[in-house]
Amino acid sequence: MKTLILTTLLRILTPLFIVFAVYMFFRGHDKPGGGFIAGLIACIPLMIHSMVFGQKNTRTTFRINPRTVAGLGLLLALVSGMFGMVTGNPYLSALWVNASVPLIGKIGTPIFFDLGVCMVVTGVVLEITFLLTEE
Amino acid sequence: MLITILAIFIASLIAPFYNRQKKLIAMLLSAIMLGVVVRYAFFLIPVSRGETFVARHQWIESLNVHLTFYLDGLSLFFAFLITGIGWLILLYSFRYMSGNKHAGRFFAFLMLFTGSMLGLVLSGNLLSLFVFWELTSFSSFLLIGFDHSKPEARRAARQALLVTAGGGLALLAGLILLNLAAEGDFDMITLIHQSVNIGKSDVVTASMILIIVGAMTKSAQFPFHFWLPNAMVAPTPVSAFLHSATMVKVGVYIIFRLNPVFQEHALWGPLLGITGAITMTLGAFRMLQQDDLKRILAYATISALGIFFMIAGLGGNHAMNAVILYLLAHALYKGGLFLIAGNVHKSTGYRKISQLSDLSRRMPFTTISAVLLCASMAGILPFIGFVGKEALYKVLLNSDGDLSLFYLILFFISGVAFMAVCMRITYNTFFGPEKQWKNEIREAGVLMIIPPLLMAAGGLVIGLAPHLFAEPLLQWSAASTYQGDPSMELKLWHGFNLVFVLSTLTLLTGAGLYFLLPGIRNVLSKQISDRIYDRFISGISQLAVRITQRIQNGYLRNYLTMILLTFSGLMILALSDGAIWTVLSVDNLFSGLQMYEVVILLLAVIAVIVLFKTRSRLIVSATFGIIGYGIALAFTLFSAPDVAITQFLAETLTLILLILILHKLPSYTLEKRIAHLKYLPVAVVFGIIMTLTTYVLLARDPASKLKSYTLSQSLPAGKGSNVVNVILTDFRALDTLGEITVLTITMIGIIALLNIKTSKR
Repeated sequence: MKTLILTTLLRILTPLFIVFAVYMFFRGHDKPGGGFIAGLIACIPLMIHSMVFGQKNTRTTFRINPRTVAGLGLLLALVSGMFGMVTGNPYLSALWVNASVPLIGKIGTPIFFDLGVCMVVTGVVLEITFLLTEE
Repeated sequence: MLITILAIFIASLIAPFYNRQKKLIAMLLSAIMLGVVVRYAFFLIPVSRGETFVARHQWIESLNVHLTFYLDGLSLFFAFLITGIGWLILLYSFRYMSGNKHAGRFFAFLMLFTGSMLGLVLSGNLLSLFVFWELTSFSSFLLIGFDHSKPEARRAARQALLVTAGGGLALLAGLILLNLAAEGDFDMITLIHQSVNIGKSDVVTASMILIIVGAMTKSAQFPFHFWLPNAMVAPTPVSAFLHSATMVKVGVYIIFRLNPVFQEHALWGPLLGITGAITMTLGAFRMLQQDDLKRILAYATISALGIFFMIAGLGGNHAMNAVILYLLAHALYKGGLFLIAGNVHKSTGYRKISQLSDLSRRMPFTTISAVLLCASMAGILPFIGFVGKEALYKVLLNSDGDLSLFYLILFFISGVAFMAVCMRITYNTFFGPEKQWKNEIREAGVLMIIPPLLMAAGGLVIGLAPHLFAEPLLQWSAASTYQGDPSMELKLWHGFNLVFVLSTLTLLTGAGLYFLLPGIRNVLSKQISDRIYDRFISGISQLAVRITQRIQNGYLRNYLTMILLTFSGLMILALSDGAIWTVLSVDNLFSGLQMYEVVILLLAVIAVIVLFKTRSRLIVSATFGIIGYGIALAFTLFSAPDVAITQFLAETLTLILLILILHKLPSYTLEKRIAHLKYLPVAVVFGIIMTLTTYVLLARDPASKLKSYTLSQSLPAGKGSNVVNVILTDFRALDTLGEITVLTITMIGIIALLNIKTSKR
């Protein structure tokens, strides 16, 4: 499926998709968006890339191993729930830092939980894609 | 107390590095174990004054489950058995396992077991008690199956796990019922002290029987005894530690622990007593038939466990005193004897008595220990075994229970068998006619001589002065089983009375029996229970194969049909209460219908019609896409942007993945149109049910509290104005966590499936 149009488009669109995914991720807490959606968006350029260039190429170009991403994501989500326990609340209680960071907004454990979700979604979808595009 | 248990579990984590750093890890492990023993030695003085200790740690606050540890005489006695003997066994194992390349793993399992066993006897909460109980079953499984390349080890491990874990389930049910009866919060300490209120409840009998069944499986009582002899494939230190000194006594422990609760119940005594009597006699007879040293000892253990149950069933303070004493005696001599068997096996390569002879000159230290230990087992004068047996005889003679005469006769017979077997072990193995060995026999290493020698010496010293060494702690251990003041008085010499006559008569008859043994030992290769177990297990797997062939036929459409029909059936059941007809009406069905809704609906209908016409998979996938996008569009129009975005993205990605899969699939298997029609009713039924369900859900309770709650709390409590995201990442984060876990598991499944495919090609 290596065509000139697709390869050119990919070069332009991939960063755009990634930036858009990051935007959707941080926007998610107040407006439509969030980790799940961001994860799906981030998958799209890589999926197309693997269909165009083959999954081995994608793995080396983006230096990504989806299994690891999914595993780390699950671990991050698991761990992020533990911080709330420090203050004596049940597992998975949110813990917020009072200061707010420009562009990103409020910082708290749900952000990390959401990042975990995002990573799991990306990892799983990409892993399945890579397995299927394997020749 | 928590710290000691955690220390042992940490030791279990560092043990695997044994293979790399032998000296260091060995030092560390034994230091940790010794530290724990010393820690409990500090409890000795207060506990022998009658004090008890409670340590409460918060665990699951909202469910009112605490991690409570409770230390009284009984717990401390068992803690000493576990850590003290555990330490000796550990030292022994360093030498025994030295040539094994998986030694690190072995020590990890051993420490895991020690920690869970210690947790079990210290548990002050019924639930944590159960958790530790299961952990001991599990670590026993790992240790029996340690030599996993041998099929018989795997079989024995599985058998032990199935029997003891099955008993664990019975125990769990029993504990839950007991908690219901006590109206408690799984707190064992209050349960023991308020035993009077429990006796009146109806569920107590059921609870009691279930708990006894649990105890029977763990303590290898008839008819669950068969797993123990098979478990002898485990490395010998494991047999000494788990399968004679500690784990098999857990059943006895739980009987002791709950004795104050159940002792007034009419069935408690007879049930325990008769089970114990049968087990004791059966074990004694089987023991005579065996030739393998370890199997002989295994049946002797079964017999001894039967004695504990029988005497505990007799009831009363003196019976409990005697059982606790005999428990100590048994742990010392049987643990030691197993180690002796290990020494003999390691040095000669043989374990059958008929192949062994004349070892005393070559293994002098082992022989000394063996003689001393056997003397204690048979119950000869200055040893603790003698004191224990005297106490048991005294209880049996003084008891006025209906069955005590019956018990007494059986106990005499077993005692005779014990004596005969002891003579056989010592004489035939270590003395006997001279034998020329092919290769030179050497005495075992120092670390393998000392532990059994220490146990033998312990049996002798305690036997000589029981009131000094055993009474202070044992009287309080026994007192915990009847919740009263201690009433134990130990003496080596009780005078020349009926008890002594009986005891001596047992020894003499046993010695006589020894000379008759060669004639009696008829061959009965495999036990009946073991055979029934085999048939049961193979029956289960055959049944499973048959069911699997029927249900798991590999056709996705059949699975789907099954799921859809089950779901429809459940929904019909849920909707069948008739309430549905009150909300169902056609009047407002078309009110407020918008133009765009009609368009979406039409799109979906057209897609469905196309779906039926087409034969190409590509078009089918694309049509599915149309339906999916239609639904996403509907979400947008009903102002659910988050859901809509997700639906759009998921739809797109699914389509891409489907296209990737398509060319790998075989062509349509259902060629004929008529074959498709078979699934039409399923589809129609499912569609109707789904429509009805949605309709009812929408019509019912439009102003739910949940909606207003989440909407109002999203910003103040969740610090976000996107309610959907706040629910996903904060309010219901546990659900999300579950979902992403499932997602990851699915990925692992897909990896496995696709890898099988590729490797086959």
